[in-house]
Amino acid sequence: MSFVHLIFHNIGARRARSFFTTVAVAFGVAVVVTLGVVTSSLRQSAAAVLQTGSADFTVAQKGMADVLNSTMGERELAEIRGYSEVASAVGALITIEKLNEDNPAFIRIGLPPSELSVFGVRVLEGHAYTARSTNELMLGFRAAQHLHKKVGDRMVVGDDPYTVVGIYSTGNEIGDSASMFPLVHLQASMRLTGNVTLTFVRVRSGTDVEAFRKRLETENPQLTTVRFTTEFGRVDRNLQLISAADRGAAFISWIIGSVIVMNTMLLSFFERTREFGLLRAVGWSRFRVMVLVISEALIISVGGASMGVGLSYFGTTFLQRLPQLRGLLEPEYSAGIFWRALYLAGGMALCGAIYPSLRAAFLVPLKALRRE
Amino acid sequence: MNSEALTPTDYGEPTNVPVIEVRGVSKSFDDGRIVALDDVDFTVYPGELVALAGPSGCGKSTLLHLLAALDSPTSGRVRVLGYDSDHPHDVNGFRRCDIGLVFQLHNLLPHLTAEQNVAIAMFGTDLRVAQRRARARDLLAQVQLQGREGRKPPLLSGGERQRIAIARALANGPRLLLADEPTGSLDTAAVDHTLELFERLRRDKGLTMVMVTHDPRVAARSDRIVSMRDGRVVEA
Repeated sequence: MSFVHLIFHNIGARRARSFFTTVAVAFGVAVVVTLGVVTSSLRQSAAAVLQTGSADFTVAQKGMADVLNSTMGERELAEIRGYSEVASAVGALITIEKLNEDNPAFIRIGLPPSELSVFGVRVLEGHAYTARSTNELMLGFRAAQHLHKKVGDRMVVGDDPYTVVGIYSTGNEIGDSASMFPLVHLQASMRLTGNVTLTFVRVRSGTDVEAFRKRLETENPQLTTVRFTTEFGRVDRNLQLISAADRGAAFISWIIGSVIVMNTMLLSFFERTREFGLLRAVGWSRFRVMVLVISEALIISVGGASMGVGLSYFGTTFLQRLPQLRGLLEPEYSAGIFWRALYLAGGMALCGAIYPSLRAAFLVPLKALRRE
Repeated sequence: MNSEALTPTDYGEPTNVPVIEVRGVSKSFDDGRIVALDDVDFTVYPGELVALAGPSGCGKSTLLHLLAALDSPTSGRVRVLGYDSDHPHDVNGFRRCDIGLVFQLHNLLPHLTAEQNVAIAMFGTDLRVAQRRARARDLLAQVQLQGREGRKPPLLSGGERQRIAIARALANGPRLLLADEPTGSLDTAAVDHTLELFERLRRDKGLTMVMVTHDPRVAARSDRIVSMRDGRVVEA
């Protein structure tokens, strides 16, 4: 019998308790993984809006709860364009419209046709809308496929009828799943005349992007810049709150899971006092006894982590089907999510087992052997 | 008892280096209200088989536990195979390799098989899994338990459990065997066989043995009988 065999044997000898502890850990892990997947997916979906235009970085209004609430005026846009480092600065109005139950978050981007190419838009079919038109739109090729629309088709967006005059590509998944409208018309229909949501900035070659971002923010304290998706929290406090809730839930799950593991291992310790006394009496070191107890907890917790990831898949699928989240949540099961589950389970095992293992290791063998 | 005296045995060369030296040892419990051992002197030489006899509660098992480093004396000094209660070191190695201990209540792990119960004492040695397994099977065969290797203790008789405990005590080839009523649960034939095994181990391996016993057959085979009463050695 190897040491590893003994560990599994001991777990198997108390099947029911091991199983229910595994299930408890699994639920804790499932909650954390599900929240992690949801947060990560929302972050990806939201941050992708910032990447719809081909730019070195994006400028938004500082301190907004939701990035789409960002509002920048023509004066601010002109100031940005005035920097010598700026090669181009495209102001875009971005809104989200509910088309129908299947498309609750249809992205509308308002851009003047003169800036489409700077924005990275390539017209694949048809032609671009005209600057002053009020009933023309272009669809990203993914949106066109999804909505089964082609050039010349009509569709209603926000109670207004439009004609699809072109199909475009931006090379960005979110951009290609969106629609584009003449900026002036979209500003008017949203009652945001003269305003844009974000400004997509490209700098001249040789410019130190980071240094320029800092300068821009210093000289325009009402603005903030985002270069990477990981910085998205700077322009969207909702996501910061979701991320904080996610971390809080992970912490609480870790505490609860650790207490459950500790409870199980302590029960096991009291049941097996004579066993630990005997192991010490036949020459087992304290360290070996500790490793035995902690390893048993680790195996149970890692089993719980595996089960938890499975449960999380079903949980996320359930959330995905909720009407409020349909179309917004595109779960991504990255390696990081699985590592998170493993770290959490490992943390539960270590925190839950350290005290029982110390009690087992420091038993006086003779007293332990006398325990009834 | 004169610790300097030569104590020749029938087996091996006589030597004046004791395996066990107990000097002025007292052990009390419950803040001194219960005195289990009172100024005990006791010496055992290599290859000896010493029977510890006396009525229940006279301190035999307590003395055995002190010899096995499972407990420490309240006063006095216990020195066993170089392990000194005044200067304890590597108690794990001492318990694992230098001594074999047979408990009165067997203390087998009920969820492990007979073979696993023996092999568990070999964790921490250099033996590989297959070697531990082979040795456990060999020891079980020596105590006439071949064919019972896969049985768990609850499915075995008291005598069979006792023999597993003996096999476990011999697992790492100890130089000293300490046994608390090792034949208490055995029938006559098993007692004879066990005593023959002990004789063989003394002859072949030079094993020294101290046994707590009430069994006159074990006492009759011993080199010396150390009688105890009320925590004191009254006759050696």
